[in-house]
Amino acid sequence: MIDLELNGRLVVHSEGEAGPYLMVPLRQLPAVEEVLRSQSIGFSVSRDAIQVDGHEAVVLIDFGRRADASRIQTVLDAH
Amino acid sequence: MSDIAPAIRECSQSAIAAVTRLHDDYVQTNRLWQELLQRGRYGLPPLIVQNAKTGTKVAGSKQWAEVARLSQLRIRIRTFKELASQVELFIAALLKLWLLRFPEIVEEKSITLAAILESNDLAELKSQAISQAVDAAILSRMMNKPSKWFSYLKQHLGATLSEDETAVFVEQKASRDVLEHHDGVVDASYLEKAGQAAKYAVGDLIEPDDQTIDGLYDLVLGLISRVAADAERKFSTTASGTPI
Repeated sequence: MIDLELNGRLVVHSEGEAGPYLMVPLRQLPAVEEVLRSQSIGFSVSRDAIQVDGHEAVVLIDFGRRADASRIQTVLDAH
Repeated sequence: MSDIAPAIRECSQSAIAAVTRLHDDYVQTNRLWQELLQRGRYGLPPLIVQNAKTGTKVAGSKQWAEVARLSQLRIRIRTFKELASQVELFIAALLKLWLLRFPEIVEEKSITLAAILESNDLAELKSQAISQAVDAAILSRMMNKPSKWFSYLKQHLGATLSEDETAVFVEQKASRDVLEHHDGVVDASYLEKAGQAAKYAVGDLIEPDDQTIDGLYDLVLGLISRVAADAERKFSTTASGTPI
């Protein structure tokens, strides 16, 4: 999947010990949620969408500490 | 109206303020970490912070992302645990108010011989004996399972809590204990504590998220408000307590 704001691939990050996460423009959230659900990937979405420095409102999707970042990235790349 | 009703109101307002502070702190802190992560998304220059005491320096985007994620994880778990604990703290404070007002209904007698021998003042000794007996009574009740707390509140303070909401809280309290004692990994004691309301299996990892925190906030606030309102109502029409 393409990040509609940055025009690059949606990147799954995995820094830290809280498990992989993804930053997604709010307007793109429904499409990303649909893909994740279709692949039975568990996730939770941040309550707030935040705008930084004039950029788009963005939400953070959390996959949990046991999630497989590379699998999620593969799924997103395939859509 | 019995003089205990205003004290009950004050006690619940204080508990509700504590619950609100916990949620506000969670949202504000979490939002700042999210903003920091998003700065990295746009390649904005990261902050450079050095801990003057330890010398630890955080500078690059990757380092900040690690710090932000760890902090998000910790504050989520801490907020969940502390929110769940507020019900217990409130009930203990409420019982103390009630039992100190009606000490004749306390059956525990915990004054020690040493306290009697040390005291030269009968009034002080009486006050100490009541205080210790009340503390012992509260402790013995709070050591019970949460379902017992609620039964006790229903029986003695007129609480009108539904089975559904107390069952949900019992599960959340069991989850809290897993986060506190087992790093979030569900064990057999969770199933025993949560009973029919259990949502997880042994080995599952409990990871509170924003929605879980919001749900627990609503639940805790509702329980405290209802118990306080019911107790106030009871004591505005009754002048004495019920024997334990």
